[in-house]
This record gives sequence, C-alpha cells and structure tokens, in this order.
Amino acid sequence: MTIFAVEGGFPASVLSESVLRDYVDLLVRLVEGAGAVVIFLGAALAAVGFVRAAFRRHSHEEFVRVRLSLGRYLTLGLEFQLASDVLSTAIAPTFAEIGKLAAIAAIRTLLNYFLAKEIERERAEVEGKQNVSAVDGTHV
Amino acid sequence: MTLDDVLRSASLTVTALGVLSAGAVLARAREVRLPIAVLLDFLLAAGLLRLAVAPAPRALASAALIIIIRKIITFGFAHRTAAPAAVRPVPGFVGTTPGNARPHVPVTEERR
Repeated sequence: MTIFAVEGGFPASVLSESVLRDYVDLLVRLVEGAGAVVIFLGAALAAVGFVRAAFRRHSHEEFVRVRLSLGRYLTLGLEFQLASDVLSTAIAPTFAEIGKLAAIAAIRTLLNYFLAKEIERERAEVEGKQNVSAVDGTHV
Repeated sequence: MTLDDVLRSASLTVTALGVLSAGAVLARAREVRLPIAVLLDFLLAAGLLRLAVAPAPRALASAALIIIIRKIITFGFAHRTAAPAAVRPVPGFVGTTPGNARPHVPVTEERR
C-alpha cells in the first residue's frame, strides 16, 4: 500500500479534513440554495395564482387550492433545507455549531410536520366540498 | 453581490408578494381568515429564506415566533368556525348519517 504512504499524494490531499470540509460546505450551500429556489419559486407562482384567481373572480376553493400548492412548495423547500442540515453534521462541528444546528433542524422539522398536517386537512376539506357539490350537481 | 444578499432580497420580495396576495384575496373573498392564512404562509416562506442566510439567533427567534403566532391564529379561527359546522343533507335522501339515509319519496295524491 505504498500509494497511501506517499506524502502529499492523491489520497492524502483529497481526503484531508480541511478539503473534505470545503467540499461538504459547498454541498451544503448548494442544497440550501436549491431549497431557497424552491421556496421562492413557490411563493412567486402562488402570488400569480392568487392575483389571477382574484381577477377572474374564482371561488373560495380556488384560493385554497393555490394555498395548498404553496404549502407543497414550502414543504419541498424545507426538505432540501433539512437535507443540508444533515449534510452539515458530516464534518465534526464545534459544540456551538451543534447547538445552532439542532435549533434550526428542530424548527424546520416542526414546520414540516405542521405544514404537512395543514395540507392534509385543507385537502380533505376541498375534497369533501367537491364531493358534496358533485352530489348536488352544483359547481364549486 | 453575495448569495446572502440575494437571499435577503428574495426574502423581502416574498414578503411584498405576500402583502399583495393577501390584499387580492381579501378584496375577493371578503373574509378575514383566508387572507391572514395566506399572509402568514408568505411570511413563513420569507422567514425560511432568511433562515437560509446566516442563521443568527435573532433570525431563529423570529422564525420560531412566526410559527407560534401562526399556530395561535390558526387554532383561534378553527375554534371559532368549528361551532356552526353541521351535517349537510344529501339531496334526494333523508336521514342525518349515511348509514340511516333512505331515499326520499315525495308524497303523491295516490299515496294519500
């Protein structure tokens, strides 16, 4: 195994902790950026949807539907951000960093849980109203 | 312009979009619950974007505060709107539950 014994050789330079930390930092920023892009995109699309629904005089359910799609985007963005939190734990952090990370991860996990529950409830509400209107023969 | 600056601008933009959307929903829906929920959703998105920047303790605290306020308001509205909810009868059927629903037969002259 002379390759690994070479000083300054390939494995030593690639797998040193500082280089690994740089790679992981880059990955964390990329994944976090992806989450931010998803959240921003969802918010922009939802804003367009709300304004369009308001101008076209759509029903209350249309607003709820747009809100549901915004919630889905937020959940997806949060998943990305949670993934970046998990990635951050790949390298040995300091105790202060662990505390901050734990607080952020806890907030994001709680948010994800409540958002998912809210989406589920709203969806059930919309589907219930659709079923009632289908039986009635009225358009919602 | 760094990534943090971009995220801060995005956060402000999302807040502005939230105010715009909530205004549009308020003008159309003429009720308070939905516009507030919409505004809080957008504020939450803005908070998440701010949290992606450098997670300062203040940003963390504000994000947590938004969640708590959001939950309180949602709970308050759910509590207020839960009371008048009633079982809606299915047309053509009489009975309060699906189990005891039976076809509604109109009383005609012959049956009398």
